[in-house]
Amino acid sequence: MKTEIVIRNLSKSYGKKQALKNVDLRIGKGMFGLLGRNGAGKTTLMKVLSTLLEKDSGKVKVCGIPVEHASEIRKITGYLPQEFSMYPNMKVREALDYLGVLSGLTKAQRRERIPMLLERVNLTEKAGTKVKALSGGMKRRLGIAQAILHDPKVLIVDEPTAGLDPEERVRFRNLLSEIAEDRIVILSTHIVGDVEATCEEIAVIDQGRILFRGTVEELLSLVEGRVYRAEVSRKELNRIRSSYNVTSMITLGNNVKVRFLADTEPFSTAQHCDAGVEDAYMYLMQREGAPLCL
Amino acid sequence: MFITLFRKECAQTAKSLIYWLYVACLVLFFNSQLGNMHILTPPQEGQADYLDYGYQTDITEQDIMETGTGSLVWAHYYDNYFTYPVGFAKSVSLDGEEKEEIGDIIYDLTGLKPEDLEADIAAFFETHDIQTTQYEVKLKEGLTYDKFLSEMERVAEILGPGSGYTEEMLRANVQIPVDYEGAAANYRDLTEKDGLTGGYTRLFCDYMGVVLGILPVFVTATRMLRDKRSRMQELIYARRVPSGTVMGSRYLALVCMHMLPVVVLSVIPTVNCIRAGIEGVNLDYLAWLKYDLGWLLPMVMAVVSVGIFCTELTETALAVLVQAAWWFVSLMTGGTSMYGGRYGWNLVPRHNTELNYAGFEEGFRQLAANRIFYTVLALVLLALTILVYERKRKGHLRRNGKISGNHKSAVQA
Amino acid sequence: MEKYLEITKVQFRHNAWQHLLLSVLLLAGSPLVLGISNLDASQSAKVLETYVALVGILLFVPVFLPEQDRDLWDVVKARYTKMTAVYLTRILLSLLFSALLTLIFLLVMRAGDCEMEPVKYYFGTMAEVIAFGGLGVFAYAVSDNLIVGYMIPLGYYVAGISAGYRYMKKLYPFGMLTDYETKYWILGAGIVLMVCGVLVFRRRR
Repeated sequence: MKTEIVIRNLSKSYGKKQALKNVDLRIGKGMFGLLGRNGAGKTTLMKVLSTLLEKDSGKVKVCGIPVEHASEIRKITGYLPQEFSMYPNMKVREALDYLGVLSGLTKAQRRERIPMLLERVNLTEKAGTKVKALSGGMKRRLGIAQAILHDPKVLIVDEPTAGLDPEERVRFRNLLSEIAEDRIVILSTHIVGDVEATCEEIAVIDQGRILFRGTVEELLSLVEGRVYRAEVSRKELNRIRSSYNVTSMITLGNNVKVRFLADTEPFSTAQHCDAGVEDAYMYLMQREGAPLCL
Repeated sequence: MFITLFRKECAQTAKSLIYWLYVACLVLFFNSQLGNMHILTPPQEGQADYLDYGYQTDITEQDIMETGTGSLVWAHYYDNYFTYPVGFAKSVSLDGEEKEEIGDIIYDLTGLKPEDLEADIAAFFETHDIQTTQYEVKLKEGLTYDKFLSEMERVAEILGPGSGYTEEMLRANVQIPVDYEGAAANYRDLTEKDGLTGGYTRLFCDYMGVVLGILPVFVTATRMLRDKRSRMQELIYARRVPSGTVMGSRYLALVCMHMLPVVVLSVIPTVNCIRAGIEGVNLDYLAWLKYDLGWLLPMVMAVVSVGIFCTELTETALAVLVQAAWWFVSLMTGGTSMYGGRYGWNLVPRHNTELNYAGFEEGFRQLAANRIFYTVLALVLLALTILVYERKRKGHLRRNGKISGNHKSAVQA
Repeated sequence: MEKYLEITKVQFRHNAWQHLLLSVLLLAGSPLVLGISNLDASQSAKVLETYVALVGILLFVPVFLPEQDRDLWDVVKARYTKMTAVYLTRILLSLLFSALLTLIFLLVMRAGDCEMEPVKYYFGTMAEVIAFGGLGVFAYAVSDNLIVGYMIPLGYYVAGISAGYRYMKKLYPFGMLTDYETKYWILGAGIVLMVCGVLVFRRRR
């Protein structure tokens, strides 16, 4: 059985609103990033993969198993929802034990895996602490531990870094990378930095459609050689915005540091610079005609 | 997996505040109603009264006719009719035609014309104490019981549901205190047929039923809401455990944990009976077990199933409301059959005496049917709950699969 | 002032209407189960005390419900500075509704020739409504559990029926005819409990 997820022509709608439109995607071993803004359809896609939502049409196979066979899929997938918690009065160890039972682990398996996973997510000292006393970052790490409790082939993580401070975020990404060594890890995020740092393969999704699918390098190549930066006055900014794709800006007093895309050298004060994932992402978004507020 | 989950659910329940509130309520209620349980001793000839020994079981048709007609005459004379559809008095106003019809019925039964009634009532209370005696009226010569019943049936029809003129109610309204022979007979029933403990355990069930018709819903609703409140739902949904195992183990654990203190308390009446040391009693040592399983368990099962079903379906406190309403109506309707024997389909059957074994025996088939019905209903609701849970796991029936993005910041580019 | 109007509006739109609707249904459905005409003084008292007063549980207990979800509570807390004021506004709203519903019910009973002293009966019923509500609000706040908020006043109700005046003395909920002084006692207790409930709930979050 190949460790691979194949999605073909997947559609899903809530009432009139179509959340996923004819999505085609193939995901292999390693970290896979799903990038898109809020409401783009990331969560819907992840829920379909983890059997928490039934699709309307199309085919989805996880490691060769059609997604309709929910109980088979649930055996081999781990899921960390965007918003979750656990029974606040349970101790960390107890909560994992409870979830372990629900995953069908035997007592011996639970006894072996729970300390090991707590060690791995660096929560060994907190094993006897009540869940309600954990910080946001610790809760996220506990979330990861519960999702890989039954050693799934596929780990699905929805917006895992939201609400974490920068240091925790970095640690969390590293943890995910380690876990991804021998399985598929799908990570959804609206934060470009998360994807840039950890994922080899990514997809960009917007309004339920896949805009891009490839490696980070391929994404960068979309804008390679066309990224410029300049420091301009606020007055000039409007002119730049109307003629170019602006990908970011930082206000400095009366001036604005702006990054934008141009096919040829735009004006003398503009400096050529290396392309970043963020530039490419913004480019994709704007190419699709979806207005972004910058 | 089922057994481990069951054990974990039991442990979780035992750690919750509301469970101990439940236990405290049970114990308090038990104490207030049955704390000073006094075991009846055999009646002695020449005792001052036999009020503790129940009512006559062999009521004659004549008794029923005299008391029943008397109460009808009384109501007609004062033009004051009441029915008790669910225990509360409901005043019924009759129009002229209906009043006339009742007058005719009274004439058929007693031979008294409306204008003679006042004199008859006055005459009756010349010789009887108005405070303690029920008005009884002389019946027409040769009135048969069948004729009486058919006339009363018409009265019941006119007054509507909950009137006291159905055969069942007419019979129940005749409560004639026993004399020595009657007391001895009632007592013999208690000690011989009922094994003494049977009567007291039944009384225990009668009282505990009053609170068990509502209390389990609180613990159950709290347990079911806990998943949502602690945002644990999706973590459980995504696991391999079958929905039937999640809900089944939860249900079983709740039922067992609710029954546990009940079973413990139910042993107390039996212990009291044994300690009373009454001679010549054929003690039934296992009455508590039979009654716990047969009388109270189906009730607890039904209440818990209402709790899990309503809560899983709506994720609100609706279950409390539904069960409170059902319980209220059950108690109020049960209020007219306190002395036992008439159990009907009431969730909370009443038998508020250690005596009246005869009534129990007579109503037993009905009671058994009643309890089986509630057991089946409970299992059906459990099955529906599992179905609802399974649907929710696949993203149906949920109000918002995801908390909408509104309160999150816009795209951070 | 405008702020409180806003709280009222929000509360009504999101929460209160459901409980108000239930209370109206409870009272409007009463003819199905009990008579509300031609009752004598004690029957009228029974209907008011053991039936109508239940709206206290329905209307007061859910005052903290919007804050049950901690995340949402943060949003509310950020928006309004004074939570106590928010709770008090909601409680006043519940009080207004229950006072109005009880009044209407009483008037209907009067119109149906029920025997009673209207002012005395009205005040007595409202005292009980507040007692039930206060107990529920307090229980909810202490346990942080809506279900407990319903359970405790219902327990009090059952205690009133089963234990009676003999055991409950001045805290007997159904003392309209037995001992009217009970009404002042339970009213006082209800108000104290409600205030304590609000303070406890505020500190808890």
